[in-house]
Amino acid sequence: MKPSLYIFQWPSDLGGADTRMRDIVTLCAHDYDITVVPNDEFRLQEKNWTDWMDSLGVKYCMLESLPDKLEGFAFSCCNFRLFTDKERIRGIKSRGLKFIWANDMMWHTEAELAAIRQGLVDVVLYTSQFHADKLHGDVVSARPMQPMRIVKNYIDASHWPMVVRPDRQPVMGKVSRPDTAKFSIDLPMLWQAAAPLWKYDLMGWGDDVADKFSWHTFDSRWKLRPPCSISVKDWHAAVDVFVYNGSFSYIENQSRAVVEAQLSGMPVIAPPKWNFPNMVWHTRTGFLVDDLDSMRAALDSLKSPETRWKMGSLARECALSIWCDERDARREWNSLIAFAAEVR
Amino acid sequence: MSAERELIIWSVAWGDYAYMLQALVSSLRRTGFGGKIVVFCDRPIKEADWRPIDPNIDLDQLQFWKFEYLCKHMAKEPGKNLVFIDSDHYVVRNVSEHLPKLIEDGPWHSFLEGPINTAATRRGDWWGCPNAEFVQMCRDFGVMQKEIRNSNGGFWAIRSEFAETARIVAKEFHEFARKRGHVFPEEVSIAVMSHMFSEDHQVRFADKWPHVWGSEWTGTLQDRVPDGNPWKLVNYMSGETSLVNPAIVHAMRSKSALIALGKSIAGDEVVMAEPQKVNVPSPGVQAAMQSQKPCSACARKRQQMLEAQAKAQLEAAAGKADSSPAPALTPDSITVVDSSTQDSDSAASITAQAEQTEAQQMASSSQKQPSLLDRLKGMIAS
Repeated sequence: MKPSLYIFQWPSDLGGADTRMRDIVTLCAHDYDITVVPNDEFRLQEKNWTDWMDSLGVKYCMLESLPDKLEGFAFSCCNFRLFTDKERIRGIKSRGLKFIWANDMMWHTEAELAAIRQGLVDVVLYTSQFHADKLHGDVVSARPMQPMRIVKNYIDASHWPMVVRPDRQPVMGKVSRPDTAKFSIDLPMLWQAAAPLWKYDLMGWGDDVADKFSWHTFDSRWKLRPPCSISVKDWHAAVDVFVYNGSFSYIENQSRAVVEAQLSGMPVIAPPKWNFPNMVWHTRTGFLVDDLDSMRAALDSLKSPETRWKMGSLARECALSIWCDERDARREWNSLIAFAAEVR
Repeated sequence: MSAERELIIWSVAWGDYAYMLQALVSSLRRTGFGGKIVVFCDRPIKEADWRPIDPNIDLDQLQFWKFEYLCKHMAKEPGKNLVFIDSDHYVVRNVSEHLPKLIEDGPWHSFLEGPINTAATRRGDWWGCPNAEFVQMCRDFGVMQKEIRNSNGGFWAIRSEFAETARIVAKEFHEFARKRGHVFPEEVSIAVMSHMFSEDHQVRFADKWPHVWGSEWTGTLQDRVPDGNPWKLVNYMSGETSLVNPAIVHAMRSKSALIALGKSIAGDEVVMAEPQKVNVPSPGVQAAMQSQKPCSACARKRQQMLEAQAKAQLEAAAGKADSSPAPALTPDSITVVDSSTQDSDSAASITAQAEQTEAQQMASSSQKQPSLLDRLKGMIAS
């Protein structure tokens, strides 16, 4: 009999938390008896996802449909409604589940910290030492003896094949969920300044994002795609270099979009801070740049299709070995669950 | 002339600064500027579109009111390019040709004056912030340009559609710096934006526009109205000197002469009614504003900065007091927080807490739930 794992979240193809959850379900379906519990009932009508869960033998239902007493574990990643809608977190705890909470963001919410303070979270999960360093201070302030673990992100490589890109006017781009904080306010000026002869492709261009940049005249070099307007795989094929430029307004924990781009064979340009130095091998799989001159130099060297292919291929190899080791990831997850089982 | 129609020069002044504004407006007209000039002032100004001071805009200590006026009153003007000029400027030649060019390369412009992080830099700080710290702050905020320069808040230009973004970014940087212990006036945010919102920020280097604008801050023109003759400009950060003759002079040391000129222009034709009551920030600031001493603008800004700095520290102290008892706060007890010390302390604290947590986790590991755990161990082993 497999241990039971209840995942309080619904999968999607957009955003780090939902794609992480999707990959965790795939990873753990063999070892655990998984039930997925969404926030909203309409999710249960999303046939593409219920079909996918059926194929893995994963069950799905609303919280109210679960028996009053359960044995096993609950997991959620960035579903902050568990804390704001208090009946959800109470529903998890009252049923006797051990709750593992992963906040993949770089900040806490008041409701989340209040739940931790009350001892409603059994294990706090981080994705890296960097992540823990940034967040765990507040957690410890809320609950000094709060158990925590670090389990690195796992990415299912089967979703992200290597892409052979044509020789063309080079395209730099970024894909993201449509969050204004994900697009630095100077992005259009910066990209045009860094590589005026390139094309630019952004996916995740929702209404709020468009409004944020309404002051800028985007010329024919720009392709601004609404979120999920094409599949990320197709977007990978349209772009040659992934560029992540940060700003004070958003600290990135671990961009799964960066790893997915690397798996597709894209070199990445990112800032030399946060977790990026663990993700981009400077001058080998991309460039870590902290000023415009070095960004220009990086893009200049990436004008060559051969350089892009060479760096992109190595980026894929590195990403596969670091983030996509299924056996290692299963071992880490089983160890996490064993740890949670022991937490009182 | 068509370019003139697309731009509006605007300003805000009260008290004696209103007379300087009159002198500025008249100098613009006398040198041939035929475009729209909008002034917000506590008394009427000749040859301009005069509007009263908005009593609902707080004349905040650090001059962020400029952005409030921009968004509330100027952003919806039909003009596309809005040029703000502080009242202590004076124009000696026609500027109609120059002004539209400033804003060709992006939505925002201020002149970037002296280098903060190059070999030519001589001054060690800007607004009390050591250069290295300031540069790091800019980097962390998102400034990517290698060479970072200071700017002057007295003259800037903006496309009207960018107004709200500029207001937000200016305040965001201000808040960002405040959290690091620095309370800056508006011109620091203005400098940051001139880097971030340029495809080529070197276009904004003041030394590329010596014929257009220059800031006379050393007293070369002390108590004299600029007359169109060259004068010696000293770069604020590098100390380098050059002989310049810009069309627009930021005549910071000519205030008494400009006030006298403005009064004479106002003459009897203007009904000098009682000045409109203005929400001035504090008696200290008011005194500095009314002072006829040289460099009153600097004194005012310095005073405002110190007041805001003290306020921020008091707020911070009050915030800490919420969680732990603090000693009574007296003026003597207000000190600038050493952020490096603070960081290392908090880092040490987190480490200690993490060790404590780990110990607790190890202790809790001895508690067993055999049935489930055995199954899991079996899974790991397999």
